[in-house]
Amino acid sequence: MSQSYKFHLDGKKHEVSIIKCHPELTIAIDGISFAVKDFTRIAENYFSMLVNGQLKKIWWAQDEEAIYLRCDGRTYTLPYLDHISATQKATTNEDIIKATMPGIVVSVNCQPGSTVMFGDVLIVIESMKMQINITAPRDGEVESIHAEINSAFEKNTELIGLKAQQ
Amino acid sequence: MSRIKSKIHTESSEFKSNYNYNKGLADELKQRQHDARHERPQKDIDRLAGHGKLMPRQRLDKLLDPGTPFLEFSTLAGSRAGDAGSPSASCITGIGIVSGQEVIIIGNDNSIKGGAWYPLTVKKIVRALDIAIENRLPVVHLCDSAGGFLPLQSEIFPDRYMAGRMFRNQSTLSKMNVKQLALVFGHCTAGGAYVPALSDYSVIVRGTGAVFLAGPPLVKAATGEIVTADELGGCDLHTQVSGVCDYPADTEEEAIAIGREIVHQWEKTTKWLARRDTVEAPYYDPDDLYGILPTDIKKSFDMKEVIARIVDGSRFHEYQPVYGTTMICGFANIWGYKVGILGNNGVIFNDSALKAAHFIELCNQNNTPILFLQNVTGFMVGKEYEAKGISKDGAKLIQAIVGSHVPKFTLMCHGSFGAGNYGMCGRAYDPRFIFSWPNHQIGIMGGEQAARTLVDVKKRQLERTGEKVEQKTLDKVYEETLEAFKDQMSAYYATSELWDDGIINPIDTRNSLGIAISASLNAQPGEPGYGIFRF
Amino acid sequence: MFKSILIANRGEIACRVIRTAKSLGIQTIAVYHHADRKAPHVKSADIAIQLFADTPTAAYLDSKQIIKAAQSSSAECLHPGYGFLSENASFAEAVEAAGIVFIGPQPDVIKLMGDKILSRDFAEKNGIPVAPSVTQNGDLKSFVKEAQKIGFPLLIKAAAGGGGKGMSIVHDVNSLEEQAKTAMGEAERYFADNRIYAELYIEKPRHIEVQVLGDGKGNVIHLYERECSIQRRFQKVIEESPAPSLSPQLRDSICAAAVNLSKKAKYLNAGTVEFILSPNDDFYFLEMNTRLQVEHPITELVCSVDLVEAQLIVASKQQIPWLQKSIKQSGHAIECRICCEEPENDFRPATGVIKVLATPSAIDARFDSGVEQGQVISPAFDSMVGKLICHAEDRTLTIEKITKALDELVLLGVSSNIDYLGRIIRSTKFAEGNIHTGFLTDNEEELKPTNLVQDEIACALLAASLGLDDFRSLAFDAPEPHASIGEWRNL
Repeated sequence: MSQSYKFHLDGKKHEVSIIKCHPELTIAIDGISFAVKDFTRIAENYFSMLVNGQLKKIWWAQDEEAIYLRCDGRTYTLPYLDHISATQKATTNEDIIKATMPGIVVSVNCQPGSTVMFGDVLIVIESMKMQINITAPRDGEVESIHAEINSAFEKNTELIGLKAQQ
Repeated sequence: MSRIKSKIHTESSEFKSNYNYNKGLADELKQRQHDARHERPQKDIDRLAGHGKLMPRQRLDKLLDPGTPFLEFSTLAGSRAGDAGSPSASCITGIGIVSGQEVIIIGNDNSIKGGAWYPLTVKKIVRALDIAIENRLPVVHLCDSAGGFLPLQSEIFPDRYMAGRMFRNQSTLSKMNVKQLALVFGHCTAGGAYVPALSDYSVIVRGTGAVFLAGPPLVKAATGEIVTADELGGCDLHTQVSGVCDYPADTEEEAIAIGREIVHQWEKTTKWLARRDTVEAPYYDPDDLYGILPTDIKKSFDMKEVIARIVDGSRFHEYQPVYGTTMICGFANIWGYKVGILGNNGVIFNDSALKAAHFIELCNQNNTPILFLQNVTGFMVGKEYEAKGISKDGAKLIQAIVGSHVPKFTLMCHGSFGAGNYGMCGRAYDPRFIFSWPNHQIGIMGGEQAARTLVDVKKRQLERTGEKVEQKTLDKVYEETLEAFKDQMSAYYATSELWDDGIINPIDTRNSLGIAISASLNAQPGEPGYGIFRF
Repeated sequence: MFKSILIANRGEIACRVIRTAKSLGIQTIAVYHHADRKAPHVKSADIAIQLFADTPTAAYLDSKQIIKAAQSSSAECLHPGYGFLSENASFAEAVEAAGIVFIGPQPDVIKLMGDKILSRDFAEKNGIPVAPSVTQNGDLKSFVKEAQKIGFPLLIKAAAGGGGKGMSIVHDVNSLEEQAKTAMGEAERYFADNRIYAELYIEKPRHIEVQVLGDGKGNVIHLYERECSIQRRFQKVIEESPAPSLSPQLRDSICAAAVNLSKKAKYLNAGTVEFILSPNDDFYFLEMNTRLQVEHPITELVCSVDLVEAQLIVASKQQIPWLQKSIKQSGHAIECRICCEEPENDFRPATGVIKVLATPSAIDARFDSGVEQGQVISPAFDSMVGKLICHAEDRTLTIEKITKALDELVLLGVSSNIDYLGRIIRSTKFAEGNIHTGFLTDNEEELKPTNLVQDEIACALLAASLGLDDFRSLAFDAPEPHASIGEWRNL
């Protein structure tokens, strides 16, 4: 079967896949088929559709972690990662910040124990006559710093270590 | 357009015995294709699972869009080649829909001898790439192969249309601005390394994917260097350092998801023919085909009955209905696409040949794709017909076929012998796709006819040398010739050698042709123009 | 009437005050911390002045900066909203000292009513019924001895406290001393004042409060009562007016007591006198809030008044705009406090970005909020983001209306209590009107969400999928003839 879409709802995993598109859209939820007709966009984030003949009006929104719905007077949160983010999220190591090119350290804006937010400038380096900000890849706490002002480093040198998240 | 009026009586005993016979052939086809696609030694299945790899068909399923068809080519390639063959020639090729795009898919089957290339593997892949070139279809490669099967290297490596042709075709596609994506799931060794390297986009799976001109054993033998497959040509090396591959993926599923996203942003080609009429299912049941086809290669059937079970609404606009009646010509729709159809109802006479050539010209004039439905033993022979110029009439038919700029499709429904095969657009005449039915037979002439001819030759030879003509000897010649021919004429032998693009179950004809026609419209037609018609 | 007003607050109440001020043609000045720079109250004001502080909350508590902002913008008056500095007597004093009119009562009345023990004594002295209580006077042991005499259960409260903080219920004598010690510690931490007192805890009490308006010269009117018994951990969740099944005599008595207390304090401007009503119809003074309350809209709808406007009139003219006899209750109103929290996770505050905010359009409902679509909900501020209020001819019709309004209210991207509120409003117990402050705890099980049934799960999953662009592409944009051929293979 082609890749199904996986959602979490109410703590359980569910799989959604399209069975056929024509003449009627048929979608399988965990193996059970539903016919969907008359999908209509009412407004941004708001659409209606007929599910097995019943009219449903739905408000829909999405952020990096989940899809949010309001339907039939009930609010739903469905944790969802699309097929690519799902695996990449699991394996990116954001605990170690390495130098992406050789250079020297211009300034260090944090110290071990500092609380940092995603995007905060931690270190400023200079390389090939350009100053570059090295920023925090996530919220967290600085665990170790391996850079001193005016010290030189090679590409891939570990500059800062963040405390591992629980 | 009016409906063909069927004259078949589905209650007759003849229909019933035909039905049982041909349904049996169809069931046999299903079983053989199933085995070629899925029967693998448990140890190979376990080996793949142990490496965290998906089976090749699982990769295919996850790649394709839901609710869409996949037309697989030459499933039984390599099935009758003995030790020189392998199930499905160790690869999967076909047309499918990925992220809304029509694409050719070429996938190695790593569950057979590590996906190594047999001679027929190479031939099947080259054929798939030829289809991509002729029809301007983008290609998705699912790479996982140990490289060439060394014991048969002389049939894999040196000649013009052998392995080198794969890379020549890939480069040609690239030059034509037709896109290629390679998903590297396993090893791409030696020549295989060129598959992702010549692809426009490549995704490689960390840990199992690797691309190298020589693998670790060969490297050790050549220079003494000891290195692992991953160090030598793994994901991180090629995506971060060498630039041979574009996207790293942690799992096969992620690689496929990235691949689908890449294809999603490809520009869609405008089809050459915009016109498409409302689709109508055939009025007559395609299931009847089992009862229409005879039980014997010598017996014939009315090709119009076949047409009635393939085309939209069973509607057919016949051309020259009362002239050259052994050649049926006319227009019909298949899945809404207008096609010109030529079908045999007997031997080809002078008038049938002329009618066919003229009709082909009409199709070209009208930008109508042409479908050839073959059931032919050849052209009419004899003094009368030679005097009427049957040779030049056949020649004109061939000129018309070769000069056609519209796409051509051939379906070998039953017999396909001698010049008849040529005159009805056989393999050598570049139909975009050529399929056959399980009851099909192909040869220079019919088996019995060939056996009788060789018996006659043997008799005259014995008489010339003055030896005694023993009936036993003649019988032996007859039996042996018949045996040899029978084997090499069967649809299964032909498809194994890739003399066609696959055997189709008759009831699958309509869908197969619909997909084929749609695929063919991605390429602009050629320049019009014919050679000299010897009038 | 004033020409300009500075609103020393944020969020919903700031928007509320700005709305009325604008309708009166008064120039509006907002203050904000950097975290609120994109907030609706900043955008709707005529002038916005930034406050600087280490934390957002600290900014709104920075008395000096706020007064400076008022002076620099020539604000004639200052409205403190609720929370923050609204009941801070020194702030009120400083505002007045800077020559700016403080929209609220006199600083000494704020101080009096702000001290729970002093205000209690004041009420008792003036003939307002109070619950039996004991004040802790330094000696913990004697406090414990005296408190026991009142009986159990006991409610321990902080003298300088409010908003439910530093409160706890003691059920038996064994834990009394320890809970008293804990309460003192909490009081010290939250209010810098470790005085506590113990009161008899009325079981199944109803929280009834009365809106009053005084002119500072001894004239006070009341605008009837509100019932705020639907509470969770002493935080109000749903309020309504009139209080259900309250006899006219009882209503009159309670309102009269409130007016009496306010008159005796020579109360100026708007305030609320809170009472506990026992199941025996005995009522006791709880505390007086010297500010506009969160739930003021229900009084506005039932009595057809604009309380913010009334506050401004009283402050500018020293005159109450209405006579008591012209204030009449008409119909019924219910308010639901919309909070960004996770009811299923012990009501933990939720943060995130409001991806979708849609207010009821088909239903006649009032939605007072300080947030808009796209706003970031941060842990820096209170979790209440708005109030949904409905009014109709009677309680049943109002319940019907607000049920529909809650269904139509959409807040996506941050967890909220909207579904939870819906379950309360729909419950038969709520419809029956037998409510008391333990209602939510007593009915905790029934108010849990029903398990999702197959159809609901399916609908949610279908909706989730079809909202995704790539899924829709696969469903609707498949090419022909392939979509019509369907999932076919040549087997």
